[in-house]
Amino acid sequence: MEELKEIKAGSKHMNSMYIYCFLTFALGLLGLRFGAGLFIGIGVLALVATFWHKNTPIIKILDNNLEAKLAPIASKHFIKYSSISNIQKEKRKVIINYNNGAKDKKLSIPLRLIDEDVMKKFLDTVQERRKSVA
Amino acid sequence: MINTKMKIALLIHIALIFLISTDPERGFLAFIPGVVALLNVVGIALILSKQKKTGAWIFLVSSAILVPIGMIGAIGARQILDEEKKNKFYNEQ
Repeated sequence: MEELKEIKAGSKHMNSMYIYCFLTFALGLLGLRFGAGLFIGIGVLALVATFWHKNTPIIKILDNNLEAKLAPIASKHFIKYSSISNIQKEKRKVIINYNNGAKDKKLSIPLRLIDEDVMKKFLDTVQERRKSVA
Repeated sequence: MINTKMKIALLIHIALIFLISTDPERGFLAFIPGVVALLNVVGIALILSKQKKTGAWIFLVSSAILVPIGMIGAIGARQILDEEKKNKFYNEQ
């Protein structure tokens, strides 16, 4: 089985982003007297986010730690496998609780962002690494 | 220290001041990109004077006022914050 090194946004998420971009630009360009600029503005933001997700991995899995940045302006998380306290799987997201120095932090990954099989593989990999460093 | 995105963003914000100020009816609105550009300069000055985190935050928040065009500067400032975080994380190891 191929080892997971980096994770990009899933195809479902990308498809919905394409539709979102198209709809916002279409509504903006339809010539609505009010709100046209707003729709085009949101469309530009969606377009930037779409290109970013297309070209940049959201999670990098390294030997001792993982790096996660879920959106272009979102803060980057650096997580040591040994600092992960627990992983919760909820209905719409996966929450990784970890300790960064003196602070308890959490990384919340929306399930729609990553394909289901990749997410399962990712969680298995993280659990495996956690056990190996423990 | 200062990345290309931040330089481009500052130039765009300055260009916006001139572009808006030439409008005879809404020229007074040029004060909005004016304030943003001023805060951008403050942010850059702080980054250059080794207060990277504060400077990058000022640049990020001020650029976010002009979203969507301000997104370029916000992404650039976020890159600096991420680099700082990365250096701190790997130096602790």
